[in-house]
Amino acid sequence: MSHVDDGTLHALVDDALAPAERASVEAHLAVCGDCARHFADATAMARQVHTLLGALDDVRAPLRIEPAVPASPARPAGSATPLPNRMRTLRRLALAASVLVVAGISYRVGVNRTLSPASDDAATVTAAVEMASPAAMPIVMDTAPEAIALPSAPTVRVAPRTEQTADRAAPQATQQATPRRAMAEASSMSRRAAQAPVPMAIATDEMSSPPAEQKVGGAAANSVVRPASSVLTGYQSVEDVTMPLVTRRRYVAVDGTTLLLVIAPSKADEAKPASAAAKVAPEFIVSTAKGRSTVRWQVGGLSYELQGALAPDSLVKLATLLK
Amino acid sequence: MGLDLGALFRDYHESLVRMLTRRTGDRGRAEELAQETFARAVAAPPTNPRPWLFAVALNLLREEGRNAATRERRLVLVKDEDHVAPYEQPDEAYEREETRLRVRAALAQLSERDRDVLLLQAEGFDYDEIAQATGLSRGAIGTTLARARKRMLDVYTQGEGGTHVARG
Repeated sequence: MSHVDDGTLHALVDDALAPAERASVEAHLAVCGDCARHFADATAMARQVHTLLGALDDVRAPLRIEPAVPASPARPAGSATPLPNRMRTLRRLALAASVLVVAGISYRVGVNRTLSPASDDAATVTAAVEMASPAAMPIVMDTAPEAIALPSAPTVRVAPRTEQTADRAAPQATQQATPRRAMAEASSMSRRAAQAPVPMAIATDEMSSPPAEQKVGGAAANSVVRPASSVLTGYQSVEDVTMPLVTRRRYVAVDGTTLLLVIAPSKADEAKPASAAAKVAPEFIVSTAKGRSTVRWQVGGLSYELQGALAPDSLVKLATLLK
Repeated sequence: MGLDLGALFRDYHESLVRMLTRRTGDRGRAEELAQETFARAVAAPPTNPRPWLFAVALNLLREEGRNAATRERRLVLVKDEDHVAPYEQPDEAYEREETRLRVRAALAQLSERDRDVLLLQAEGFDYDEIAQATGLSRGAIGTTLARARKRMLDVYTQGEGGTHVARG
């Protein structure tokens, strides 16, 4: 048999050869060093390309809850979301809402941050209603609304984060069944490595919620913590997740710097700074780890924690603004 | 026979959105295209859904016309602003973005047909399904994939040399 062409080698990698052809090619590879090397190259190429394509996948945070109703007056000037973006936001909200509905989680979404607590609750209800109605349409589209109200559809959507992790795994499962075993194992390993940031991001996300959630329970569990102000000059609030006891808010600056503000009920033992923490300003507890600073302070029984990849003193300045 | 859109959606929607996201660089647009694709499936239920759905989606992409490239660039920019990877160290975020841009640049160097074949194969399509979705002959798929993979890696590796072609 003459040498095997590249197309056939790649078809062998993809397990796409008919049994007879496959047997004949494998027999040739066993005796032809050149072709065996080319086959190894083809295997590596297929694996590399698969990994690289994974880099294009969206790693957006799962519950990207943005205000879908007109922004609060306090919204920084020039931060109005362009219309197409808003349409997408609505869609994402619809998806997020369907997640919430399906999962039965009672998140409360702060919409208008400058409203008083009472009217804020009203806004929350409005937002919930607005979110729930598109959620009834699993496939949100402009063109054929009659086609979308199919009964089985509302349950097809799962939490985007898990979904994304899972859907990366899906082709892996399909693929593993097909290519040659060695390649499948190697590529599954490299793919697992490529996926690593996603579960890590989830872990960090969860860790960033103060443990107060577990420690403080009982009667307080139904109360919703709300800060008085959330305006940070130069930053736009992109996400505002309010859960029982804990509010988490993310700010993004024009240059992409992200800040995370976590507000939770104070714990008694947090009143004093930990010994390892540097004390920059008397009212702030500042710590830095791996280029990421954290500033904590307390106001009226609430513990505030601002995190960001900024120098501690810059973060303290921002915290002062917030405070 | 009625179409079980729920099952169709559950089985293929994520894969379709992922492929379209890779293809367009924009998740929102990918979701819109996927929705339109599923709407068409409702209008004309396919017998062999997976290749059909992907073929329709790729056709919709093409239908967007010659200004698609411009739009794509604009949308990528929009998305880049939109896409701040949360809780990620800045250097990690930078590195991820670099890789993403370079992969996109490499993919952009492929012919449309090669790119489609590559993306479909990455979704676990077998050669028969790729042939159905693209209209290529089954015998041409291996050669197409060999060429596409090689080209993509060549361009990607050139980008590694420090010239940020992806930045344009």
